Amino acid sequence: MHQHARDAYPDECCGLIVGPPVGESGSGGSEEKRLLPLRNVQNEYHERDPATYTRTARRAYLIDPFEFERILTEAKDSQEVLRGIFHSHPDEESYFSQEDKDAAVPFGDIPSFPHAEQIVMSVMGGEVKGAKVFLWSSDEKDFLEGELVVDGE
Amino acid sequence: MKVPLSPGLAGTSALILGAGGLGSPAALALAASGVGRIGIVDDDAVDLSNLARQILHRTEDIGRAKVASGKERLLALAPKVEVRTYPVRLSDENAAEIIRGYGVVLDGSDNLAARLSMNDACVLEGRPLVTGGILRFFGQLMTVIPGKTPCYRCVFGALEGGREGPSCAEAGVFGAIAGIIGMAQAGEAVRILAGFAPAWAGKLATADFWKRKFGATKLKNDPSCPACGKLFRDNRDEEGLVHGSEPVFTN
Repeated sequence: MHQHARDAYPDECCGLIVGPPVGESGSGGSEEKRLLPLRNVQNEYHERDPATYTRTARRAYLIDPFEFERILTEAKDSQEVLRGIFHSHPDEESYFSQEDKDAAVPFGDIPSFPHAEQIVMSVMGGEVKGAKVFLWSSDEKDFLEGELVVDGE
Repeated sequence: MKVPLSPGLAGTSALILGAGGLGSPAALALAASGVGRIGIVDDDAVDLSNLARQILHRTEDIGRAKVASGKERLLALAPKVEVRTYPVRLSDENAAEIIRGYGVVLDGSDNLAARLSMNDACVLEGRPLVTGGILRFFGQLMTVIPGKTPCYRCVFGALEGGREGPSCAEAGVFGAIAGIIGMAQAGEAVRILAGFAPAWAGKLATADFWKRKFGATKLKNDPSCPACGKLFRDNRDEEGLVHGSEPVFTN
C-alpha cells in the first residue's frame, strides 16, 4: 500500500481490500485479505469533463467504475466482500475529508459499503508519513477514526 | 416533509432531454436523489393528453411551457436543487453547447432526429448518455459510455432518413411503462454520478407489459459508426480490447 502511494505521488493513489466477510471464514484476519492497488483515473475524467470532475488526481481519486464492478463481481464469486478502500493524500494529513465522505455516502445517509474500512495515507514529499483508518458508525451516522492494525508492510 | 438532499450527489449534474413521459419521472427521481443541478430541454407546452404519464405537470399547468411547470415541481420537491431550463428544440447546432457542463445526459425525447443529435453530441463531448424509449406497452433503455460501449447511432442509426414509427401521441402509450423506463434511466444516471458502473452500458433493456416480458440484449458497436467508430479504434489496445469496457462485453 505504501509503495503504491509512493509511486502515485504527487497524485493520490487508490485501491481496494477484499477478503472473507468478518467473522464468517476462518479468523477473517488480515492474512486472508487481498490488497488490490488500482489506477487513479481522476485525471482522465477531469480532462473530459472539468465541470463535473473539478479536481485533478493531485486532490482526488476515482476508481474506474467498470474495474470496480469487475472486482466486486469476482469477489462475490469467491465468497469474498469488500473489506477496505484506501487512498492517499499527497502533502496533506491523513484525515477523512468531506469529499471522501460524499463519495462514500452518495445515497441518503448510509455508505455504499458500510462495513468497509476507509484507510487514508499521508504522503509528504513522496514518503508515507502516516495512515489512519476510518470506520462507519451507524449510531453517529459518520466515519470515526479506528485502530489501524499494521501487518507486514 | 422535506426531502433530504444527499450531500454525496450535491456536486453532480444531469441534463434531461424532454420533460415528457420519460423525463418527468426521471427528473423527480434525480431531484429526490439529491443531484445538485438538473437541466431540462423541452420546447413544448403541457397538453391535457400528456397528464396520464407526464407526472411533472398538473391539470392547472395546461398551456404552460413544460420546462416552467417542470422546474416548479422539482423545486417544490427539493428546494436546494438548481434547475436550468432550455425551452428550445434540440438540434445538431445546439446539442453540444447545451450538454457541456452536465455529468450525465438522459434522453427522453420523442423523435429520432433529436435522439441522434443528442447521441452524437454526447459522443463528441465524452458524456455518458442514458437513452429510453416507449411505445404502447413497450419500453427500452440503453446506456452509452462514449468510446467504450456501442452508441445509439451504432444500434439505431440505420433508421435515419427512413419512415419513423408512430409517436406516443399517435399510437398511445401505457402510462406506467413511461414511469418504469424513466425511473430506470434516473437509476442509471445516479449510478454513473456516484462512480458506479451503469447497469445497461452495452446492453438494451426491454420491458413488454403486453407480453409480460423483461429482457436484455447484448449490443455490438458498429466499427464504421460515423459518431463513435474512431473513438473505439483509438481506445483499443494491442489485444483488441476496449479499455475499461471488458465487463460489459463478457457479462
